[in-house]
Amino acid sequence: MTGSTITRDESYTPIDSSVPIADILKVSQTARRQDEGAGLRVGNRSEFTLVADVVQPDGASRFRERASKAQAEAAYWEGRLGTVHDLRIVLINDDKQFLFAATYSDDFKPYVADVAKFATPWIDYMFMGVAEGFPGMASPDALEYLAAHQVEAQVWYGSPNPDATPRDITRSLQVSGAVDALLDAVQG
Amino acid sequence: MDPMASTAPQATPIPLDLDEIQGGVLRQRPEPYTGAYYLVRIDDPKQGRVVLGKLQAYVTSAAGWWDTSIAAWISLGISHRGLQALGVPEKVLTGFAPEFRAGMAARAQTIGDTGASAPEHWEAPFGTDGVHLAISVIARDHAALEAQIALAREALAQIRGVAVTYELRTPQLPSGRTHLGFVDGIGEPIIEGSGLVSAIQNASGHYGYLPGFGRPVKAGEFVLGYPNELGRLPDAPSPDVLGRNGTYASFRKLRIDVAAFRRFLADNAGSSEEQAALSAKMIGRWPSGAPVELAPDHDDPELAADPRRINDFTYGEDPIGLRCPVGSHVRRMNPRDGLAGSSTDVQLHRILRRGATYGPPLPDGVTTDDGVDRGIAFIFLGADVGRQFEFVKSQWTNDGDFISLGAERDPLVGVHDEDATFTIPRHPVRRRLHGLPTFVRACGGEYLFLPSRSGLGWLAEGSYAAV
Repeated sequence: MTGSTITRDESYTPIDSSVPIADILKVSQTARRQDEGAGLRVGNRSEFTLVADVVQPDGASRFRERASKAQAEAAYWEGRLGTVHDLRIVLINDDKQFLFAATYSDDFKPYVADVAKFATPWIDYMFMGVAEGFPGMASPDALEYLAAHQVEAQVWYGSPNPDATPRDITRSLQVSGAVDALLDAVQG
Repeated sequence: MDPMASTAPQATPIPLDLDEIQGGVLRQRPEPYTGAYYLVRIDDPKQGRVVLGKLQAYVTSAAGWWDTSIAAWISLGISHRGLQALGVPEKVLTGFAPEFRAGMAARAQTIGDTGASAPEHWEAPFGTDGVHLAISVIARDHAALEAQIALAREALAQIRGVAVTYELRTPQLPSGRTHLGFVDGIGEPIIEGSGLVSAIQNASGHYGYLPGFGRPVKAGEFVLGYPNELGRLPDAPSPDVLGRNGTYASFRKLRIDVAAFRRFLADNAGSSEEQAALSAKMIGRWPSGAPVELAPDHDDPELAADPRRINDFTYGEDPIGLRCPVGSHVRRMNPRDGLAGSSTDVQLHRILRRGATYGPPLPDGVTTDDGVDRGIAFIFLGADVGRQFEFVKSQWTNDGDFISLGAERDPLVGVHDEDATFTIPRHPVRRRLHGLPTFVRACGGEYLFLPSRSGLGWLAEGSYAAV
């Protein structure tokens, strides 16, 4: 077990003493480690954070050239995956490294083969020649690369509804939209 | 990306080495059938290898696997503990799949063997270090079965340091169906290079392509040493003679609470027709085997009797499951084209299934448990335990997120918490049943490796140091 755990047994003082402790504990989330591999998990939701070296000297410029196309396609690929809530890729440390951070629902490891088979063109487009040592998503060594560079969050907030998947949220919005339309119609 | 598209193979399929592959990998049970399983513990490595050498001679190959007139056959599986008990060194063992090395009991959390199915409740010797060899005998009739068992017993007789610790007989029920009254064993992946499309067509006199089975799956999904659906060779142990043409089996002894199933139907449906309809919605097929997707309102025995139609359906036109519920057992186990639009490739999660009933039937109409052990002995076969058996258990059986059903589980074989639900999509309002009890619980299981016949010979010879 790891991560930020608050229990009533621990001595804990809120930063702002005007806030009742009970109000904080009521919504506090206990993060645990993924069943297999690194990364924190709250409910059904997990964080994936990776920091790795950028190919020198031209990896960063190559990535910047590809970024607009990758940005345009991000919603298509991630939408098809259906489990990713957000994703960011950031060049850091004077372009020597990059940060890859995502929030996703459900398990990661069972779907590695599916993701590799499905999203290889997009992922490889972004990272081949950019990420030092990245073997390509379809390589049998891809998982090893990810495991070697994954880092785990110390603090992580898994949203107010950590059990909701992206599909659940989409569906809930559709349902509430339909209810609104119904109420509007009834109102005349 | 349509997984059901019957695309022509991109290259000439590599024919499987049927003489090497154990017959039980490809053979489907005969009709009628009977069978038995034995577990063996090895206390003396040398004597264990002697026994293995004797048994190896009786293991039938997959040559002519579609011929259902063969009287009986023996399959032989070895657990990771069994390989250790034979004296196989760590440098060889390290090449095996990590799930297999851990053993099924150690994977209980992942595959959902919790609560009543937790390994601490399993029957001995399951879940202990003492499950080493598993022998499966399948036969057309009692006499053929006994003849094969006598051979196996002779191989084990008068050898010290090797003991038979468990026996499970799997006679077919008089109905020819499962304990819940359903025809089973209908859908089956077609293996590229295996020489025939499906045993079902052979039994029915159909030798051509039968609709509904989907495109052939790469042989490397089911047998080591051949390219898989990812376009590469599956991870396999060395030396080649040990890994090639072998595969992994997930053995499960599943106890079924028939009375609880009948009570649940009676509590949630009125007439016997309505109860049958509810059970069909839960399972995805009617008792006859007719698919609910094609026969959503009534059983259709005529359809079920037609080998060209019994498996010829997809879910693409029924995305929310108005005909066959997305949460039904059969649709979960093989979603076919029902996950189109997601990144999940169903061909990466196919599995060969071999089931055989054990225990006497619960008499018709009885709705109180008589305490008798009855259920199904199941073997799942595939080259990747994690991507196939464990994936199907963790994602498709004991979770509902892949079909937007939250934590809802397989209504038939899921391990259910309190107030478990089963959702039947309907217009305008879905029906949701509450309080599903757990009908099926694991009372034993183990991961096994089924080496090729040469692999068995190599293990029996014992020249492991030469690796």
